[in-house]
Amino acid sequence: MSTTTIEKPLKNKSKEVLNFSKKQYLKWYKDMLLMRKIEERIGHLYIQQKFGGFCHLYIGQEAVVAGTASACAKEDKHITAYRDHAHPIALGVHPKYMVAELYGKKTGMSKGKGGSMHMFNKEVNLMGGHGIVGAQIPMGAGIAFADQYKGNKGVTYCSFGDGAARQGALHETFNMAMMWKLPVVFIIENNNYAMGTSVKRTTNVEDMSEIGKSYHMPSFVVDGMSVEAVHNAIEEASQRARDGEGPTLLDIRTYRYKGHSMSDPQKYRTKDEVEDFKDKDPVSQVLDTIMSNKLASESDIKKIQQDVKDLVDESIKFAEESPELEPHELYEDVYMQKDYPFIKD
Amino acid sequence: MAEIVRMPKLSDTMTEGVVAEWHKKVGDNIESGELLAEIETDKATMEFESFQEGVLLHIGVQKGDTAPVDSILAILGEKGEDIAKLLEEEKSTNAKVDEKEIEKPDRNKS
Repeated sequence: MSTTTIEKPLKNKSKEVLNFSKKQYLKWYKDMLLMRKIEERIGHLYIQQKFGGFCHLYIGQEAVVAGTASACAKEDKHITAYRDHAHPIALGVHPKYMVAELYGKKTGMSKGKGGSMHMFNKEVNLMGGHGIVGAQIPMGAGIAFADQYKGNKGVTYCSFGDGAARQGALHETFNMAMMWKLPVVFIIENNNYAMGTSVKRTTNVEDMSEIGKSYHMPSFVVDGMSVEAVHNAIEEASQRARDGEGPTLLDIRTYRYKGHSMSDPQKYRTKDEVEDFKDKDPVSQVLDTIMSNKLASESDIKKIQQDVKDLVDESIKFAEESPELEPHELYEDVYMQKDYPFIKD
Repeated sequence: MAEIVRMPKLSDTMTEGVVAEWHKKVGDNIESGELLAEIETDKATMEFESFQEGVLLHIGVQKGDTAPVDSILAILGEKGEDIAKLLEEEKSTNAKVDEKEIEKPDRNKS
């Protein structure tokens, strides 16, 4: 792997008319850089066995969640798969709670009982991190149904990969979601590989937005390497949901630079392919726009980079120094009822 | 200051690894993110990129050899740095770890 180029812009673009504020660009840059940098460290910590379990990195896909978070409203809800380290960061959770969760510590987002694949946070309506491939598709529609039934505002963003999109439950869900006009946005984080199997090896319909069209669901292909494109698509889809017009399917074309999980030798793709995608790196694109439009000085950028580095160090230190769970906590948070008979003594 | 590069755990079930190939030799300068070696795990042969930097001072596991996770794969540091002390320290820490493991059953009894 060549060193990532996010420290400096990709190329010198000429000044352009921007549709987003300086503040928005700087927030995107900081959040996405934080996702990238913290996950690079997480990868190293994993192979040094600082924590166990599974580990699926989001590196390369940052624009998808960053663009979703910037376009959503506070009351909206989020549900995703097990590639979920970046979601809490995008939604404004301090990354130290996510790292502590990886370490299985008491201070973790899910009290150390979920690990890498199960990041939850009530305050920002992050309804998980789910390990069962595609299970969050019907669950996401279920959350949207609950909101509609109870008369709550709020849209649910339901993210899943291109592999999970092949689960049968997707079709039942799409049918009901359209039938009841549920306020849900289905987001395919299409990184082109279901573990090691490319989209074209699993289907004769490579354009995944076609799946929604058979239910007359508004469906679009989105450039997932551009945070602006993702933001715009999400904003439009949420408006439709808020107006009572029901769900939208977004086939967001992204790419992951790292393996499916930590034990993926990546023999299914060439190094050139990975490098080609790095040329349109989502974090570098944002930095490029900031620099070529003079939205910040070099020292402003250096400060953001330093802040990110400090946040990463602080988060890892917090996780390492946090206490382990007590044995009795094994029996807590299992059932809704406080004294469920089954787990009493 | 010389640093130890340990045999990485590249899969959930990996307990030992075989060095299938070294991409660097002693004396080479290593940047973070550079391909250091190929390691055969219980699942596959994986490329191992260094996340440490420095000159490769010592190779702990030769090509074709097997070593447990966490053992010394290599040592990186500054050119000409003395690594004898580091290797010595590692030996004595391992000895201490062994002692602790022997003590364990007694502690559990109490």
